[in-house]
Amino acid sequence: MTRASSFSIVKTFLSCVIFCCDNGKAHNRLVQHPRRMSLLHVCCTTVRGFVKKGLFLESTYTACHRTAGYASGGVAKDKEPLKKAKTPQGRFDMDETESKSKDVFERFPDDVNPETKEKGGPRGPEPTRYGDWEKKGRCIDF
Amino acid sequence: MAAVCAAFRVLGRNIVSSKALPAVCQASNRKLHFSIYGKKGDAKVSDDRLVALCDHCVVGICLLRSPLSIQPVFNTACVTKLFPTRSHTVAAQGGINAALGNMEEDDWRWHFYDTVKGSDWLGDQDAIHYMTEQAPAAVVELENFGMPFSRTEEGRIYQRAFGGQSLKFGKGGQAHRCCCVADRTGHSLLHTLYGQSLRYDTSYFVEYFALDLLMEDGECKGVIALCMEDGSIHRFRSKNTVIATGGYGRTFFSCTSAHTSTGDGNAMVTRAGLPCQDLEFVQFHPTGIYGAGCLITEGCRGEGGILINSEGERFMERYAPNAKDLASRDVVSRSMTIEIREGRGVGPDKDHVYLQLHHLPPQQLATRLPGISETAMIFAGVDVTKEPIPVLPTVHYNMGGIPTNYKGQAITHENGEDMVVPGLYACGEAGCASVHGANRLGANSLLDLVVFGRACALTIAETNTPGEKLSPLKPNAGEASVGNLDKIRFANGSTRTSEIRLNMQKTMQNHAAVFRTGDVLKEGCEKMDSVYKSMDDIKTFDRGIVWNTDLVETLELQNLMLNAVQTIVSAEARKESRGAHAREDFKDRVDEYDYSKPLQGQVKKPFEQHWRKHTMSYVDPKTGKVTLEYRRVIDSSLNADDCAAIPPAIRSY
Repeated sequence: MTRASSFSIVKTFLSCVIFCCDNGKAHNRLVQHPRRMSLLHVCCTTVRGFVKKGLFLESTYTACHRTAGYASGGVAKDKEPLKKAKTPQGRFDMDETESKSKDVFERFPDDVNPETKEKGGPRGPEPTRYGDWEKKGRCIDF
Repeated sequence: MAAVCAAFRVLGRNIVSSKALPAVCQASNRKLHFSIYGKKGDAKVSDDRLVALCDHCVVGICLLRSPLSIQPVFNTACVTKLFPTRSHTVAAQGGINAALGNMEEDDWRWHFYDTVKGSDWLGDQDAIHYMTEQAPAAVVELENFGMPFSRTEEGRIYQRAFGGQSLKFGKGGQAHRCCCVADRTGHSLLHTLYGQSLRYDTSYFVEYFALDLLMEDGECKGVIALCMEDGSIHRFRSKNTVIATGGYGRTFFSCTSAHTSTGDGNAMVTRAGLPCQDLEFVQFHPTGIYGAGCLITEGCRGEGGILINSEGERFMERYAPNAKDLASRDVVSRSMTIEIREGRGVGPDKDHVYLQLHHLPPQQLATRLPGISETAMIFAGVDVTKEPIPVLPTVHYNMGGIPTNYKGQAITHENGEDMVVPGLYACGEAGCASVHGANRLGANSLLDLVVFGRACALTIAETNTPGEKLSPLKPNAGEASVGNLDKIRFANGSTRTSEIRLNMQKTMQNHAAVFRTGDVLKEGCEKMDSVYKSMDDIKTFDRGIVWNTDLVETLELQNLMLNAVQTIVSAEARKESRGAHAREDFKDRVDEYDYSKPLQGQVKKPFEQHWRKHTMSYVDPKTGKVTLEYRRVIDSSLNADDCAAIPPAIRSY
């Protein structure tokens, strides 16, 4: 089953669901009608099932394609992690230790600046050292 | 906004009720404002109201002090086009000056001297006296409200050196007066005051665009505002109105202020036939990133960065052979502008120059200026170790605004006398008290907000009693504003709002920026006149009433135009150089005496012949014609025994 056809099935189910909902009843009334609610519920679970199946099929298809590529290449390399798009999910899989923090973000121990003994002051080098109020190369006030 | 919040505090519990009397209104009975305590907010409550207008609220108004909380409370409404904590004050990351004396012995009279000198003797010394004397008390009060200032080892507020502050009237070296909250003072101030103001029963009318003041017989009786959410129009009747709408940086092409800094308060006052003061004094910074408007610190040039033009030449060598790129800010700004005017600018429009840092070792940049590569990448899209940063002189602050006395009451000038406008107050960047005069010192603007916001509230509290009946308002008050609104909503000319706005911004940037000479300014005045007239041909696209941002942007453009014409015409008329207003053809200050020589034997120049005076500008909104008058600078402090006034002298640092 191709992705397109699985989605068309999903769409049909969704339109059924909407049709049920749109039967002249408002949403809250739908909630008050358990039978209609359960119909909605059933429709939703079925829809989810189809969607999952569709995706599963899709990933299997892609995996086969990839393996085929490797086989034809000769040496089977260690599978490199796929480069995921910078979706919110993808970001969680990124290496946490990379990037961030430059000196400016480093907190002083106990939030006390060791040279000036200022507690709760700006982090990083003294902002007024050039005569204006500097932060990360930006001039804030002068 | 900060100023507004402060006012609320002082007035104690502020019950806000708005009388929704829409002249043209949709038939919705929905409660359009939210009240913290869930009051009904019915329009019938007609107690006296303090309606505070805030588009930009800079932290300023002190919240109610606890001793005052037992006093009678006033009904207060806050009408704002942004959510209170989104006002531009939140971007003020510098500190607040106050002569607390925590780091060394300090006296507010020395702060007074520094501010008077910084203003180039155009500041009103009674207002400066009031501000510097109240500064320590104001900062301590803020700290009692919970603002987390940074501390010394002993637990006192930590103060650092900043902004032209000195000890012993300039003779004792650098003073340490600047208090801060890590690197987010303005943000913290705004949130502290907003939080405090919620203790009181203030009604907030958020995302209401104030259209005009309701004036009757020279008295301000309230405000008419457009609710952006559903397009309904509301008239707020009040005994007192406080304007804290911020500056008008957006009249220029390059500015550090938010897109909402459109000078709405100044424009409302102008349309009411009242003057604005000293609008030609606009503070520039030489190196603002092209497009984004963020400023690049002078430390870049201090560490070896150079400014180059389209020919790759280090042009500062020609303008300042000794100091080169480390020349003072105004010299650098003017040199950059001259290069651009002479056609050696870079970019497709040849309207900016480059700041080159890639010749410096990357390690040095990273240690001395941490974070600059991030800034350059985010705001300019350049890798600072490979490419130069596009920069041009950028507007940062407007010293001018609505003229007020030291109590925060708006004034007008008739027959040589200052007359208070009953019912109208102004504070913050929108007001001109005037403490900054011709040039603002760093870290003084947050102080200005706090002190004068509180001053407005105190004045209102002492001149009014809660529960006073409001004077009647004409049934057709605000008709003109509604007519204007309709006209804009259905405007069908040929030029878009954005095009006219860009024309205005480019004209102002080219003609009324740092480099000012007679010809350039005159040409600018004529161009601004034609841009003003092109407003008649404006075209808007959105005819709806719900969230019509096209309409709101056009209203903002009308406000910007009024500010822009006053700025450029006042600048053209002022034939001297003073503070931030520097002219190539008149390089010196023209005072009543020549203060560079001994006064004895000098003849005092008459008022018409010298320039140590405030400009009061009026505009006819239909034609865009500006009329100018002048008003004396107040040279005496509030109490000569307590603090002697500073006689004018040559300003040199």
